[in-house]
Amino acid sequence: MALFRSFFTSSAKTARVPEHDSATTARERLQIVVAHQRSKRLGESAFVNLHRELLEVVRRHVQIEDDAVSIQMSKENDVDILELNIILPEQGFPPNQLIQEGRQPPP
Amino acid sequence: MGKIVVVTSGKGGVGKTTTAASFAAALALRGHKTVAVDFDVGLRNLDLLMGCERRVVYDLVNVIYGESTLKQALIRDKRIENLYMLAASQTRDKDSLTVEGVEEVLSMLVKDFDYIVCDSPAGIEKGAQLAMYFADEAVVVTNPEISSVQDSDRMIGLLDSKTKKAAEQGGSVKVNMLITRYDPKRVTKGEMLSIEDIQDILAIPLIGVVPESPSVLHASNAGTPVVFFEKSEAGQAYMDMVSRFLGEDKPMRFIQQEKGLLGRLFGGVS
Repeated sequence: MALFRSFFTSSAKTARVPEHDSATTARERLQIVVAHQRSKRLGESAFVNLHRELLEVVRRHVQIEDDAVSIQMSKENDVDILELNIILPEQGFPPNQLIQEGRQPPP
Repeated sequence: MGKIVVVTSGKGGVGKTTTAASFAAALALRGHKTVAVDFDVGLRNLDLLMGCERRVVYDLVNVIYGESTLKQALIRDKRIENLYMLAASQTRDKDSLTVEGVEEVLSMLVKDFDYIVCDSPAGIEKGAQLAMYFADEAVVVTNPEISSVQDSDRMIGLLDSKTKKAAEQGGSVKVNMLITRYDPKRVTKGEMLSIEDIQDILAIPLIGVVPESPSVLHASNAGTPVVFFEKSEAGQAYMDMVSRFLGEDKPMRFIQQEKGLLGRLFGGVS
């Protein structure tokens, strides 16, 4: 079906786009950078500080990379949404660390 | 002691940041521990072209004001060893750079790195002057276009007079010219200034010619310095430029018009 479609679609848009051409990469990277730059509700320096402090807090518990925390600000209708994404390393929280922190699940 | 090299041009949009990213990456590929420093406070781009914009936590201005250590602010490249970058601040205003602050940071960097590549902002204001002030060597990026050549001439004048080296007795900054976006086809047609034209006017040694190439845009889209694209003519031209910078003898490439099929068949006729 996909093959059929690619033969018979005339739309320039679908013809042009192999899943990830470099312009797509550029667009995605820009969206993130520009979202930070434009955030008026939360000033840009607040964004920078929030990012730093989140890294610090998370790192008290688990070692993560600098780019593991991403912050996005968006607007839906009248609601401003602050979206945080924190990517944990593959192993996640080591169990002994949970115990040290006194957060052992009840038996 | 590391060597400080400024990449500058006066005019904007000629390829300073593209050059700084590829120059630094190529030095690292050649085994030299290198850091690229963005001096464009308020309009930082180098992190974007090097693909580490999401890893910037602290920047040059934070280090100057003691808000972070140098080690915290240096971002290590994920692709190759020996390559680091120091981002400019996006939120502070451009006056937050001071001579003393820049001197302190650079004096720490020269202890730890072989090469410090300073990416200058466009213009001739404070940021651009500070980017060049402590330089040992300079790469002036020029397009084969009149306003770019005019501005490069102005920058060469500043490099000769407004730097620490120039202020010292008998000292001077070694100034090299890099021509970017060169299109031999248009030169042959008489539509574009030739290498010789530019050399005649600027009279400084030529360190490289980077041809106009679609891969430069792909590279910046991807956040990968174009030298990592081994098949790219622009990438190869930057590698050649670095070889010359390191003192090797490399003939210039990509400066002649490729003959088309007919031209090759009837060689010499046209």
